[in-house]
Amino acid sequence: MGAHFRFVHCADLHLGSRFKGVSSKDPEAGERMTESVFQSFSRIVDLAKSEGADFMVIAGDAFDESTITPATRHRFASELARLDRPCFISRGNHDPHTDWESSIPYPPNVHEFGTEPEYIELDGIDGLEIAGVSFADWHEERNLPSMIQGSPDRFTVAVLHCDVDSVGAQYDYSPCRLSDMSGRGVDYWAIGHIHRRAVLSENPYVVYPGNIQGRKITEDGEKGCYLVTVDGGRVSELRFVPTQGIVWRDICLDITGRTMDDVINEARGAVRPGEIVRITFTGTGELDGALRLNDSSEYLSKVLGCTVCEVIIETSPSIDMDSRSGGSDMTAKVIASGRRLAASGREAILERILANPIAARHRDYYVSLTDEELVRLVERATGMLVAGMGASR
Amino acid sequence: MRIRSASIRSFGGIRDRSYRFSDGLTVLHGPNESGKTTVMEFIRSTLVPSPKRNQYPSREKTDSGTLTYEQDGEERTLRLVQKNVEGERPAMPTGTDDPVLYRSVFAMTPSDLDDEKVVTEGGVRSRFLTVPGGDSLPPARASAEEMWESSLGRRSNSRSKVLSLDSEISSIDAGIAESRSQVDRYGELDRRRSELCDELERLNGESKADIEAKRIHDIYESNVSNYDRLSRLQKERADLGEFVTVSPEDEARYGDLVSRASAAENELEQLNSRRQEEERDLRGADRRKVAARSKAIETFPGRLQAYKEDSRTLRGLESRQRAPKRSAPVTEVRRVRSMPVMVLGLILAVAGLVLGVMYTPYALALTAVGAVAVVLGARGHEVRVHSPSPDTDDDGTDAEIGAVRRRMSAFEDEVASVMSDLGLESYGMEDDVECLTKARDAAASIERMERHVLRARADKGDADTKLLQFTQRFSGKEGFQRSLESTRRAADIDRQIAELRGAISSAGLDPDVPVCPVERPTDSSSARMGDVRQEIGTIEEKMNAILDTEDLERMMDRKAQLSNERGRALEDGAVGLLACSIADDACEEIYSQVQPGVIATADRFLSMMTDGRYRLDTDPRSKDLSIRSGDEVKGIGEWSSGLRAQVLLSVKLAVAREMGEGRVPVILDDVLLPFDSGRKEGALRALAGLAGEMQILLFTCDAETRAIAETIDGITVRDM
Repeated sequence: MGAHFRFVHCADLHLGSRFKGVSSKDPEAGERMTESVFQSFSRIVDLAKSEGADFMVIAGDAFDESTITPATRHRFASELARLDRPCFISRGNHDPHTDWESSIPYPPNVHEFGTEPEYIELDGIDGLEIAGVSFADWHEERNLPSMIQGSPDRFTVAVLHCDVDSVGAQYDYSPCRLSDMSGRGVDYWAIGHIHRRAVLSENPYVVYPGNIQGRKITEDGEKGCYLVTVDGGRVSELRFVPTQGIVWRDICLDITGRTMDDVINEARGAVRPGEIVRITFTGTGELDGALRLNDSSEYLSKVLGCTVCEVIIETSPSIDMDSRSGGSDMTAKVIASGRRLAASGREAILERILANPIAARHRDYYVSLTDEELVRLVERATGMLVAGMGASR
Repeated sequence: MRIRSASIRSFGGIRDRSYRFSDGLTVLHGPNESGKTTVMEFIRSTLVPSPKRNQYPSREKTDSGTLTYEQDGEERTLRLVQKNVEGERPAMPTGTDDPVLYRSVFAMTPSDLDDEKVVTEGGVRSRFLTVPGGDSLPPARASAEEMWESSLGRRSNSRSKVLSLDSEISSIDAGIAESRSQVDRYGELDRRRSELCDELERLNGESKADIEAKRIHDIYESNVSNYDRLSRLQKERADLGEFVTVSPEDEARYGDLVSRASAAENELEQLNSRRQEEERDLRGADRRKVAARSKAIETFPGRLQAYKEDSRTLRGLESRQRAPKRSAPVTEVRRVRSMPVMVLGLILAVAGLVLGVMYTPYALALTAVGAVAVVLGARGHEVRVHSPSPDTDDDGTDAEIGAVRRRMSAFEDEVASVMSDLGLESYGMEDDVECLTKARDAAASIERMERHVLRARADKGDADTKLLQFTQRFSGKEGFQRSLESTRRAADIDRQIAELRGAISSAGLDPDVPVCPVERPTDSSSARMGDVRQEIGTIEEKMNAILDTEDLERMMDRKAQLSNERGRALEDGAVGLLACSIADDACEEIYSQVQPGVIATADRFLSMMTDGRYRLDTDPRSKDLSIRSGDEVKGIGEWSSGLRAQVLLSVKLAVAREMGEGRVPVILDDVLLPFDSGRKEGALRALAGLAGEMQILLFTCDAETRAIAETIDGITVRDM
């Protein structure tokens, strides 16, 4: 073989998608965040040019079907034109077919794979083959990796969107096993779908680059793409390059025996201005009541120079809840009752909530909450009562 | 703990009173206004001080008293000094030392027996009044309730955060859907635009032909005047009719001939006039005769000079005969002023000056010239003047005179003969000679002229003939002139015609065809093109508007934010609901724990009060109390007021017993008042029985109560 080249692997761009985790008090924040996704892709294009990449592959979910507009596609097409080198795209579950896409065509350097596998060689690079296949619809039952067979005498890069070893997904997104990916003559599986980057295997390479800009707290940390260098027909470097504009950060602060100032100083050290932060307060102390009774997110946002998207209160008040729960007074009974409910499981909690006819109308929302989220609601309720009872004393 | 005694120095309206209490049931009887309420308040506030303001009786600094109690076998004293209680407070079961709670549970008034809520209202609120810490829960529970009501709405049509968010979200959804439906049109618009562009191209082709036609038509229109002029000129040209063209050579030749003829004529005329002049000089004499005498006449001027000299000589001789001698001649040089020059100069100078005021510098020049002239004139010029020469002698004078005379007369005769021969009049020698000389010159000259005249005549004849021959072609001189004019006019017309034809041709038209080669074009293509262009423009605007998704993006952002808020509101609602539920559970539990004891005890008390007639029951499912009488069960609605009073008293006492664990005394303020006599006795017996388990102090102003109390063992009666 002896192929020598370099390429950029990215996926799950979700250009144009909206951010849900921000307060309506800062309307510009939403705009800034949507723009940051575009800017991240722009940086990826810059990277491809500055590092002399020979081509780029995008493994699906370039868009977000609920927010796609001609302007988004137009902007994407412009960036691809600016890339000015071959770009191979396969469609994923969030890439819808629209009536107007032919009116805004991609530039000539872009090739989008069809719904059956294609194999492409590039002029000027020997020993390279790029294979790919797109989703036919927003869900894909076919096992796409098993449809690919690469040439043994070339370095084969396979570009596709799939869900490797998924457990319990509601719909099919080309489910497959990691074992499906070996022995197919493919040297580098450039896949997409999972938003947290991961190198599932190095022989052959199976890589999820993750999405390019976090959109909620579960997509925290740095986001970007992989720069892959191949020398002598083997991957000589696999480098992650962060290109995100906004970082989501999840931090935990202990209030035990501390004042608000102490806590804020610690927070300052853990975050950088411009990040989006979720703060979980834990511990026992007097701050419990203050945190529960007031919405501190706006104040914390100002003080830290970040956007605090959520404040989770897992603190307990200065009273000794354990000993109190054994007591026979109201507070004790409330604490005990709350704990019992929290431990009683998802169904019991949902039953309590949905017993209310108005709440029952929003069943879908409550049912979509995770077990932890439901337990947190119960804990919030208990804490709120205890704080309220303490406050009235 | 049992209260032993109370000693009041000063409290409310009471001064220096003491009371002692038994460990069981003590009935304290006193008329109204005897201070029952005051004493009760003293005991209560000493045991469990209340921070409440506006208490009855109002507290004074002068308040003082002691309360003695026994606990665990030991006696202790509490002192009230200046609103403060000193001393060791008795230990009381958890929560019972809360002032509000204490007062509500361990103190009873008649009105408490009217209040069914304790038992009827699965009534959490009322339960709280009987539960430690219970009263802090209602406000907390109320906030939780408020939270879920404001978030979710109390009823399906109540205002709520979620409801308003939902409506805002759905109107944004409508906006987004509208925008999206516009967006979806992008492809359609693009296709329509392509169609229109094709049509435009087709129309363009058609229109080009139209434009060309219009162009030609316009050119034709602008050349109509040329065509008119052309036809007028052609007519004029034709009107010139037939004529003989005069070529430039002809013209030149004609001119030449004419000028020669005229020159010849002039010459002839000149010659003729000169001859006439000369003939004047002949003075009528025959030329030939004069010519014959020419030689003689030729000598006359010279001989005349001699004659004149002779004359002078004669005169001189004659005068010498008469006059004296003279001196030598003198040549003088005199300066003669030239008057004319001077005058001229002066005039010039003045004129120059005047003009100089008006027009310099020529005027100044004139002035200068004038001045110079004046000066020159003044200086004059030289003139030489001859004076006559000196005289000669007069001797030979007479002989000379005769010779001279002879000479002179010979000459005179000759001249005279010639004159008469020629027929000329004589006027004197000089004149005659002059005349003859002139005549002679004239005759000679005429002779000479004859030749010239002949020649000139011949020339003229020749020139005239040639001219005539020449103009014959043109039918004479007038004919020639006419032809010449016609020729010129024709040339001019032709030139103009050529110009016009040239202009018309270069405009692309045929000069010979004075009609427009194309039909006037219709404007339909260009109108339609205008429409098509406008439609294309509109479509492109729409397409650009679709690409400008700022509004759509803002809506999508807003929707995301609102969805987020909605989630929060739903969660807040859930938290409120859960909090209420947890509170209810806690109450359930606490009540269920307390309750069985309470109900059992209340049942016991009721039985005691009613001599076993009535028993208390609870339906564990409904938590409502009911009374059993044998097999008969009466729900709350069926109790008489007396029965109700008994039930409530039993229940409340039971609650006090359970909560206080028998260690906290109960203070009753005339609670048997609502009872009839029978019931009073039953109640007192029950109270006496209960007093074995906890201390009861009953204050009453009712004599009957006191009387019955005295009849029952175990009841201590005291007067207030």
